[in-house]
Formats: sequence, C-alpha cells, structure tokens
Amino acid sequence: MNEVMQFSAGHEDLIHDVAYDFYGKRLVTCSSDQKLKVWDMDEEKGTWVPNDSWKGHDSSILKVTWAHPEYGQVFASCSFDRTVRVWEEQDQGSYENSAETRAGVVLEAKNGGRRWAEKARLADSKGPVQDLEFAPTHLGLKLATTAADGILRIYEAMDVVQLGQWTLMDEIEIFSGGQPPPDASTTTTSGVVITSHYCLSWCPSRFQPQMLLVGCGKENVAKIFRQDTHGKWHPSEQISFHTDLVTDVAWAPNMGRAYQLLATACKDGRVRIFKLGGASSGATGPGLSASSAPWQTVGANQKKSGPAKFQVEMIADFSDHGTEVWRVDWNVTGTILSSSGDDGKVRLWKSSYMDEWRCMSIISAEQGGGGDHGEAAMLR
Amino acid sequence: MQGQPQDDSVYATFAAKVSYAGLCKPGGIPELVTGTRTVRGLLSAVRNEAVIHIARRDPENNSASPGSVSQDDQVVKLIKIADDLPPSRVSFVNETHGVFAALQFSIRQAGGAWRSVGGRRHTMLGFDEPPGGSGDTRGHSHTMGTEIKKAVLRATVEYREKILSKFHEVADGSTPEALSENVILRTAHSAMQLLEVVHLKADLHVGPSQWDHVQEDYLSWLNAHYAEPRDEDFLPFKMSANPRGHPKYWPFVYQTLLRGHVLTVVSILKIHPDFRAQRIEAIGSNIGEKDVLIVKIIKLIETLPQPAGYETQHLFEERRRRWKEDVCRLQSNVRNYTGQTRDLQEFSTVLAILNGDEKTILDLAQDWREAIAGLILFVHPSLKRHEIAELFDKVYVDVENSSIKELIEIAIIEGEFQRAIRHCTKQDWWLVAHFADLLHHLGVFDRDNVVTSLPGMVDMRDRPPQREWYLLNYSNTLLSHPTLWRVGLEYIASCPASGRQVLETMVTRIPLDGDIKTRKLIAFCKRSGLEGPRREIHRTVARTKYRAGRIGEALEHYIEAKDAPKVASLVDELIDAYLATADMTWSDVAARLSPTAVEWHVRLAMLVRYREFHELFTNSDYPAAGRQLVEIIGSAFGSNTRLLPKRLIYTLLIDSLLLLEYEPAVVFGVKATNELMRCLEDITTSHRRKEYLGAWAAAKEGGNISEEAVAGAEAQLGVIRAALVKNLSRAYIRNVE
Repeated sequence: MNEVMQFSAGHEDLIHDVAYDFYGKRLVTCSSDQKLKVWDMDEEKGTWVPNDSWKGHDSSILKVTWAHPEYGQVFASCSFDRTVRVWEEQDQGSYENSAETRAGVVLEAKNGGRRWAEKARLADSKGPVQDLEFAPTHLGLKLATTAADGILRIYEAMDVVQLGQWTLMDEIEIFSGGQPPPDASTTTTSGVVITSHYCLSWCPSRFQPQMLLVGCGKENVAKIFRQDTHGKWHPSEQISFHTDLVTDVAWAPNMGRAYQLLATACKDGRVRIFKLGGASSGATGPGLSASSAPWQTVGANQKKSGPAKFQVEMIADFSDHGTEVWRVDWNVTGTILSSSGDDGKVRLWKSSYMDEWRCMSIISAEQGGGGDHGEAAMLR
Repeated sequence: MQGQPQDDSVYATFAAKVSYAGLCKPGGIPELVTGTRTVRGLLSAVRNEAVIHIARRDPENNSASPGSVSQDDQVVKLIKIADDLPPSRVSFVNETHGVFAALQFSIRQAGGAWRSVGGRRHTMLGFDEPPGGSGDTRGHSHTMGTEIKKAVLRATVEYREKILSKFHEVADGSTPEALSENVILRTAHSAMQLLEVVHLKADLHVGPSQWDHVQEDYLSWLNAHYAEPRDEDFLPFKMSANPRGHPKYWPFVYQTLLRGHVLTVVSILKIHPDFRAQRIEAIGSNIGEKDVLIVKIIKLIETLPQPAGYETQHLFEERRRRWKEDVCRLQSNVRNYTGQTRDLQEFSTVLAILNGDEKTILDLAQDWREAIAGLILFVHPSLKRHEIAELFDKVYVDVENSSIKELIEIAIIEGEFQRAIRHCTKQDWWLVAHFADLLHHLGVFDRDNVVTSLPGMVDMRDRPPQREWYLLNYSNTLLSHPTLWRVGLEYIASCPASGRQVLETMVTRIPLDGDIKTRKLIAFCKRSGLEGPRREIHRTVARTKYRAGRIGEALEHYIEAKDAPKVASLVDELIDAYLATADMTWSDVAARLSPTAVEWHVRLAMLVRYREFHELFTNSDYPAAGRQLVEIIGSAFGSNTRLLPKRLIYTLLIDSLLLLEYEPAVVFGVKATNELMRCLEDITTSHRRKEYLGAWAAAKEGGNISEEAVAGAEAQLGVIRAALVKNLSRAYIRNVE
C-alpha cells in the first residue's frame, strides 16, 4: 500500500469534486451538502488540516477549480443552483485559531466560514453549471463554464485585484442544432438519469490560439472551439469516436511536443487519447467530421477562409475500466493521464518514448489483499 | 534507488502496479458504485501522489443522496504513485549532477553543436556510416569528436567513482532498499565501464601503449564485475597435501588462465606435485628446470606478452609470435613428457589454451564473458575495441536466462545502444538518464537512429531527442524533493529541445515557501533566461505581498514583473494613502527603486522626483526644491509622458506654499511663478475640477468627494493664489528668473 495519508472531508453528503491548487498544497472539496471545504497541507506533520468550511451555494456544488496564484488564493465553484461563484481567501489575523482535529477526523473548520469571501456570483446560466475551468494564466484571468443549457460561457475579470467584476465575453452554443432538446435525458444501464452533460478543458499551450475542448453531452462527441483572429469563438474539429456520453475531457499540457494531446472519458467505458497533429486541409480518421461552421470552409480555400484544421488521430482507446468512466486528468507535464471509472479504480496511463500508452498503475478503491501487485513501475 | 522506469514494449509481460486505497472492503466495489457513488482520482501537481475518494456518481441529479452518508464516504486518501527518493540518495544525486553539469560544459566547450555538415556520419565510436545509410548526412570533425569522447570518458570515470563511493555506503545493508540499490549500482558501474572499454577508449590511447587494444581493459571490467574464481576457492587445495587430486584444481587453473590471472595460475601450478618434486630434485641434484613440463608451462604463462608493454602493435605481435612458437614447440613435444607427469592431458589442455585453441577455450569457459576473455587473450590478442562484438558469433549467450545487467552489457558490447537503453529502463531513472546523455553526446543515440518507415509507427522527428525524454523523466523524480528540486530544474534546463517548455511550467510549480526559496527560484530563472516564469513568480509573490498589506514589496515585485498596469495601480494606492493619512510608504518605496525601474515607468519616476523634492526641502535647499517642484507640476502637462497625474497638482501646490512664503529669498522666479499660476488655474477651471481638487478627500472617503471638501480645497488654493501673486511681485522687484 502506498498510502500517504488520509483525512475525512466531513461533508454531510457525498463529495462531488476535489481540486488541487496550483502547487498541490491545498485542496478544496465540494459536495451535495452545498458546502465548500478548503484543506491545507501541513508539511511538518504530513497531514491535511481544515482551513475553512462554509455553505457556498444553494444547491449541490458540482465542480471546483483553482485560479493561478498570481491572482491570489482564488477558486471558483459551480452548482446546480445555476451559478458560478468566485471565492478569495481573506487576510489572516482575526481568523487564526486552532484547528480541531481528532484522529484525523475533522470536527470543525477553524475559520468558521469567514476566511473565504465570495467575490463574484455569475448567474447567466439557465441550467445547472456543470463544469468550469480557469484559462491558462497567459490568457489572463478568464473562466470558462459549461451548463446544462448547452452554452459555453467565457468570463473575464475586469479587475484582477478586486475580482468583483466579471464580464461575460462570449456565449457559445455547444449543441450543434442550437439549444439542447428539453427531453435530452436518458437512463443508463444502471438506472441513473443523465441529462445533457457538458464538460470542458482549456488548451494550455501559449503557442496556439485560444482553444477549448468541450464534451458535448448527448451528441456523444467532443468538439474543439477556437477563437479566431477577430476574437470570435467557433466550433472547429469534432471528435466523434465515442459511442455514448462524453463525461470528461482533458487537454494535456504541451511539453516540447510537436503536437497536442487530448483525453476523453466516456460512458461507453473507454478512455481515449487523441493526438492533434500539424494543421491539415481536413480532418482525418473515421471518427472525425469537419465543422459545419460557416466561417470555415474545408478544402482548397481553407487557408483563405480560416485557420487550418488539426489532424486528429486517436492514438489510444482503452476499455480497461469496462464500465462508465467519469474523469480524466493529466499531470502538469502531460506525461501521465489518470482516469476514474465505475470499476472503482483510478488508472494511470503513461506513454513510452515510442508513444505507446500503457496503464502503468492502478489504484483500487478496495482494501489491499497483501500489498502491491505487479511489477513496480516508475511513473514520473 | 528510486522506483523502476519502464519504457519498452518488448516487456510484454509487464503488469501495472496495483495499489489499494481501502475505501471499501475487498470485493466491495460493485456494491460501492451501485446507485449514487463512484470513485474518483486526480493527480497532484508536483508531488508523486494522487487523491482518491468516493464521489457522487450522477452529477445531474440534484436530490440529496438516497440512504445515509457514512463517514466512510468522506474519506479522502492520498496515494503515492511512485516512490519518493530515499534520503540516502540525496548526496549521490547532488554529486553525480556535478559530473553531469561538468560534462555538459565540456561538450559546449568542445564546440557546442558537435555536428557539422559532412559527407559521412561518424558515430563517434569508430564506425563510419556511408551517406544515406541512416538518411542523415551530418557528421562532425574528428578533432571535435575526440574532444567529446575525452569529455565523456572523464564523465564515465567520475560517475563510476561516485557509484563506487555510494556502493561502499550501501554494501553492508541488508534491507530490501539497500539490496536494490546494490544491484542498480553494480549495473550502472558495469555499463559505464563497459562503455569505456569497448567504445570510449578507442583512438584515445589511454595508457602507455599508443595503439588500440581491448585486452587489458576488458579483463579489468570482467574481473571487477564477475570476480570469479574467488580467492577463497584457492584455499581448499592450497592447504591440501594432494592439490591436483582436488576436483576443482584443474577447473580453477583453466578459469584463472582464461581470465588472464597470470600470477594466480602460476601460484596454483606451483603447488602441483610435479613442480614441488622437481624443486626438491633440483635442490638435491642441482639439475636445471629446463626439462620439466610444468616448469616450461609456467614459464610460458609468465612470459605471456601483454599489449600494454609494447609501444606499437607491430612490436607486440612480433613478440607474441615468438612466444607462440615456443608454445607450439612445447605442445608438439608434449608426448615426450608422458613419464614425467600423471596430468599430461591437463597440461595439454593448458597448452591448447595458450596456443589459442578456440574449441578448448569455448568448452572450458564458464560463460560468454569468460569465453570472450579467453579468445581475446589467446586467439586475438591484438583485438581492437570495436571488434569485440564480432566474438559474439563464436560464443554462446543464454539471453533467456540473462539478468538485466547482462543484457545491458551484451547490448553495449554489440553497440546496440537503443537496446541497452531499453534494458536500462528496467532498472532506474538515474541510470537511464545519465547513460542516455552519454550516448547522445557520442552521437549514437538521437531521434534519427530510431526513425522508422513502418506504417503506424511514430515518426520520431515529431518527438524530442531521447536524451531529453529520459532526462525529463529523471528530473521529475527530483522536483518533489524538498532540497533536490533545484537539481531537477538544472536537468530540465539541460534539455534544449523540449526542456524549456517543461522548465517554464515546472519552475513556476515549485511552491514559493519563503523569501529565500523565492529568491533562489528567481535567480534560477534569470540564469536560465526564463523571462516569462520569472515574471510569473514575481507577479505571484507580488499578489501575496499585496494581500498581506505590504504594498511597497508588492510594487517592487510588480516592477520586476514589468507589469505596468499593476505598478500604476499600486502607485496610485500609495499616493492615495499619502493623501488620506500622510502615509509616507511611497517615499520608502521610491528610495529603493532602481534607475532602470524609474526609467521604465513614469509613475515611478514621479515618486522618485517627488521624494527628491522632499529631501531638498528637508535639507533646506529651497531654491533646488522649488525648481524640482515646478518641474514635477509642469510634467502633468507634458505632451508625451505625463509624470504627474493632474489630481496631485493640488497637493503639490500646497507643498509650494511654504516655499512661496519663505523669507528673505525668493524661491520661485517670475517664470516659475507664472508656471505655478498656470497650473493652478488649469485645475480650477477644468471640467474635472471636482476630481482634481477633491483627490485627497476621495482617498480618505473611499472615492466620495463632498462639496465641502472641494470648497475647502478652493479656500486653500485662494491662499496659494495670493501667495503666488505676492511672490510674483517680489520676483519682479528682485529680478529673479
């Protein structure tokens, strides 16, 4: 067992999401109990200690994401209550007192919900806000959200010091035919009711135009949205290999590679990795279709009418989870991908120098039956 | 050593490592994920860990979770996904980084880009490839190649010294960690030494002889890493009354002979009864030793020519030829000694070995290494280093049952460096990274060597050089370490093709724990030319300082980050504090500003100029203070860069009052007084008059400017206006310009 430590989040309902801060020294958890909890790592003791806990929304909090620390200790949360809220840690001092912990179980957060101030409330969505992510810092303090109303929204902080004013820069329809149908819900094999689910991930590369990868709900596709030279966002490449709902998407940090890597998690039980190669005159592969965006003409005149498309190639398609996969997540160098599924396992995927992706490690939710198994593998 | 890298598709049996988080009982996952629960995980930024927890499975369902939510549902586990670097490795990592850094420096000194345009591709190891052979026509000058080879050789020798030193530390350890370290250190040492023996020393003529031969170095490597027979094996028959009767006596003789242990084999032969008998006989009868077979064999062994003793290959081979004639002569006459010894067959075998009988050598050798040693010693004594691989055709290598260490050795001898590296990846990132670095510098290990035309295979030209791939993987093992993160960054910095982007990302991910660490990181960024990350770190620190209310320090960091809007904003805050409460923090900040910063931003220049005014005034240098003040106020109307915001003119006019009333001298001349009057009238007649006159009130009241505040300012300006008129008349009378 390679357990480092554990702590009890102490929510009154199930956790929806956990997010590391930029340095991996802070965590925020959110739950159906409508609360947010921040945890700090105590490196001397090697434990996670509660920083604060408070009611953050009026409904289940679905996702949390941290901003770059150059904007302060800031994170955003989104909820079923159709809002996105931006939180900033306040000055220390009056909030300092001792944390009450006993045997690793949190009794009460030390700051009584006063340490984190709500700096902004973004309530433009007409449906639950399902995913959100701050843009890479070279793009400024921007926040992208996807909501059940099928709209991708991009906000920008007008005052990065006070964080109070956020301008809705763009609203982009994710659904190809406009708004998703009102009956866009389905029942999975396990009986769970799923309405349209949208997820997103920013392209982290500073050498590319602004791009977002969006999981497009019941369309069973992921799409790349690109900002053109006039600042307008348009759908670009469409990745259609999926046979069920795309539950999560992740754009890999580009570390010296001549291409981009994307990953998707899908309800069809698969983890897929895609390679975005050099721009080409059209999409390749059976799962790709050209965008129908009017601003872009695929073919000989493409260079004149819009930026060239990427060549998208599926380089890995893993069915190891064997059941719904809910989350994919890259490490900061884009060399390890983690995936989480209903098989109760977190799988870590790593490529060799020859670009062969393999599962290098599995973390099972079960109790161990005698230690680690399999050959030890160096992952980082 | 830390973990084990895996990077080879040939290891088809590879199984993923399985860890157990213990969030549910064994076999309890189906029950766990039924309904609303699932399991989620995410990776930490720098630390080798992942978070795993039970999560709500159906994010679209807003209802409260059916059934009770237990404490078990709230457990968040942090699981190591790779072993941390053991504390015992820290010094080794630091020391070997020193060797690594020195090598990179030497390579740069040797010419930086060691490839130059040429017709043939020289592999640095003595093999020339014809143009087009690898699709690459690049080569490099022989001189540069020699210099690089020398540098690499120095590095391998130093690496081996560090490995040996570390080996002595862990040699006595019996813990699994120590045993693992032991194996890895042995492998690393062997690989480095073999690289030297077979490839690096060619053409460098290290040692007294000025011609290339592999014999001595190969035997040195063999006996250093496979030191058999051991000395203690010698004891049983040394103490025996009848040593030749011992079952291990002759195998021992053969083995020591094949390995070139001349002194040992001679000492063993001298305990043979034949030798002892002739000694006794010789002492008794004064008969010479010439006619005794064992004596002749011993003499032949003792006189076996060693290449190192000869300046030229010709001299060596001439001496060797004469020696071999002696061996042949004795071998052909060996039947004559039938009555003299009971071990004629064994002596014949020894003579067969000495005469270079390949079958005898191969039959008697315990393994391929010993067989090659025997072949080199007695069949091909002048063998060149690069020719050693050819001997593999003659020896049997049991690859199936070979250890990783042996597989690496075979690959190195055969010059199959890609294979060698693939085997190294089974051992340790340190070994892979440093060995790949050495091979890269030797020019045998870059992307061109693995370009494939096979359909479906990756075009390696899309990828960073292999050296960088392995160095980056190694550096990742160091970044999460509390003290080795700098070394990790240095390794990343040594990757010119892909390292920069990784470095830019990773350097900003190092937690800014304290000012010293921050300064170190910033210094590293400066040294490495990482302007973007340096600014990013400054912005992050500035934000922290700002949040802590240390605006002066925040401003300094924003200045370093060249963040002009933030600098302007913070200067405004400092000025507002001055206007509101006469807080002089701005003056302390101005005192610390560098000339470059002052030149870069007008607001900073304004702070400095205004501080100079205060200093002049404090020092009672009123004329100079007056000139300074007029210049600053006048700069609010500059056509290009306005030093002073107009909302501060009112405050500076208040400052002028004391100078206007100064007696007996006239501080402001006619022109200066006119300028001040012009400025005064400008702000009082402006459509933004309220803003200009009420700036101090706005600073005090959070932006609100009351009519009373403006009226108060008007009254003050009235006083100033009168003082200006009075001063103007005084200036005219005294003719002050």
